Amino acid sequence: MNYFDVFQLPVNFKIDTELLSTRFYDLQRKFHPDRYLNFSPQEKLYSLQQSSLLNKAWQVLRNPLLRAEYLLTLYGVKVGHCTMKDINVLREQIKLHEECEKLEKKLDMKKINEFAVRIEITLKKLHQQMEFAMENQQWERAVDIIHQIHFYNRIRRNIEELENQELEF
Amino acid sequence: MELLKISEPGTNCLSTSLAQDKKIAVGIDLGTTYSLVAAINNGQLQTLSDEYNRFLLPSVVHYQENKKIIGWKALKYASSDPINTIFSVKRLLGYSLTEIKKRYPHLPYQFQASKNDFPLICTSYGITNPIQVSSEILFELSERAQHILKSNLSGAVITVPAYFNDTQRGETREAANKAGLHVLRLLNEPTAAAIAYGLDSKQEGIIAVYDLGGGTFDISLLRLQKGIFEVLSTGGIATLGGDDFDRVLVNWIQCKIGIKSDNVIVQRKFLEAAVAAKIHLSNHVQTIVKVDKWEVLVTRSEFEGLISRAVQQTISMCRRTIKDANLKVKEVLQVIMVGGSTRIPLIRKMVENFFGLIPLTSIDPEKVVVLGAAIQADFLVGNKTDQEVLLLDVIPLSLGIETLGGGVEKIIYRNTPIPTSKVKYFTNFQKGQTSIIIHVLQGEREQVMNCRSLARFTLSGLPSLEAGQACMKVIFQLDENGLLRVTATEQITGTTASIKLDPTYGLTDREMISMIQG
Repeated sequence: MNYFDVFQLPVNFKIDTELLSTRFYDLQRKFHPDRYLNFSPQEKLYSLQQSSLLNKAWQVLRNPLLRAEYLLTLYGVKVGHCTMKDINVLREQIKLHEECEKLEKKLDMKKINEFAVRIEITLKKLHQQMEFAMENQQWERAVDIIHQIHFYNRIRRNIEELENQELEF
Repeated sequence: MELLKISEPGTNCLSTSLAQDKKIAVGIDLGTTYSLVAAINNGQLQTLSDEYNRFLLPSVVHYQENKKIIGWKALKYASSDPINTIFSVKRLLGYSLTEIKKRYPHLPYQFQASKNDFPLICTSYGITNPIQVSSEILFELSERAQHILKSNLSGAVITVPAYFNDTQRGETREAANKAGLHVLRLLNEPTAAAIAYGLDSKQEGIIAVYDLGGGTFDISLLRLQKGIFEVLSTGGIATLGGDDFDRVLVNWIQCKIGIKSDNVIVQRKFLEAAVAAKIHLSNHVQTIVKVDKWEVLVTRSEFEGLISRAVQQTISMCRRTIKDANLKVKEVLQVIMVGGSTRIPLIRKMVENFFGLIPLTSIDPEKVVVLGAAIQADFLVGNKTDQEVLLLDVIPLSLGIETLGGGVEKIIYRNTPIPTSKVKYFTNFQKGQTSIIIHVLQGEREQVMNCRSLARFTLSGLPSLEAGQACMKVIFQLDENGLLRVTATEQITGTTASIKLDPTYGLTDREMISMIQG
């Protein structure tokens, strides 16, 4: 049973998110371990497993990036290996890396914020491109975009790390 | 479809319980400075007070040669016998003695380490430990509840900070068990607060819970809809609270006078005076601190200057937690204030400025958590209420396992909804190798040394095979309370591996037995 089956949804990138959450909440009401406090150990275990499955399936399906990756795996498309064909993309990534390193050396909050905003805008654009590729069944293109999204997410984590350094937690 | 076959709970079980008498269950807020108990009694949600009408129980235990004194009476020994009077024990839960000494070098207690660095506290009564001290407080509250409700308790919901790790949750549960309580659920404090407000005001949408108590700060974002309380993300600072404000104020006062005392009795007096001054400054612009022959004037703005950096840190943590939930500040509909420290005007002001909302303070910030816990406890023992409450929590810290070279591979990321599970496959590195050790850690950093070690699992009984031939399927199962269980089977031969859990520190069985019993 795949994650779409769990919620009785068609295996498709485009998804009725309203319906997904309604079904998720309805099923959790039935299967959550809190509903099984006075049941036998076997029934408790069953509830724990079903509730876990619901959480995992929901977490993947509600997030477009995870949903795309999951769907590609279902279709037998390999997502794991990055074969960066586009030289322009590669150049852009090297440039961003260098910028990030510069910011690390000098903790200028204003510059860091500007950089963060730029990354967010790019990520938004990439997400739209990924959704377009998925909906039009351009799997290879989708994989390329997913790799780019992962790259930008890493950059975003680096920036967050810098912001945290500022706060000295 | 497999998932839908099981009969719905309630069709067979709850109908029988309806015929029985109502079961009595309580909510307990085991706090750093104060603890409380509440219940739904004859349809009335209420905190349960002692014979002097005090709903707070100071989380303080005083030990004498043949006697244990808990709460207000214990407080009186704070100055005269600090060595035997254990304060803020919640801060010690889940930590090894080495960690405690590093974090709190000035505690007046006489510590002693167990064989694996579990903290033992030597008192006039005998040797005790943080779990035992917590269980004395829980026992006192349980007695109070049974006395008032004139009934045995079917169970209790105990609240814990959202940021508590697995060890801290485990020790809290153990303390409750030792106090003779049946733990229905460990509940995150902010979630409990939202339950109290959610059912009162029928609020729907994104709610932020800002909880600044005596010892910890927590911020949680919840989505409330149709009676479902879903934790979207949590963040916190486990070592920041009102106690710290007291300490900085003591330092500041002593600096101003120009004294530095190592005398524990004098220190305790200064601390009590600082606490009183802090409370007074919430409603007045200045106050005079009197200790022995000294008198010092403290203004509100001076006090605010002392704590503003700490408050700013809590706001930064709010920002990060909102980001974690993929939300924006303006999407937050309400902010709930929890914990006595949120009475400080500066805090209310800074929270209001950050969220752009006037925070909710209509329920007493000291009671709101325990009231939510009582509602949940009543629901869990099967007393049907008109609204069905369902809690969907997330894990507050990532879980990972040690990889070669001291790195940590995350297996379950922070803010993953629980319960959840993760399957990992392991193989043998050497021919004939029959066991594998798995080191489980909790934390966000990438190196073992920067994460908190939870446990080492030894998977033994592997069949003797060529290197790389064995295939061990390991299931990491996190339950609805955030507690971890591990099961493992060898795939090729079907052997079920026996798992030995070695808590990174903790009591050995013998130490457990020799420990004084409550």
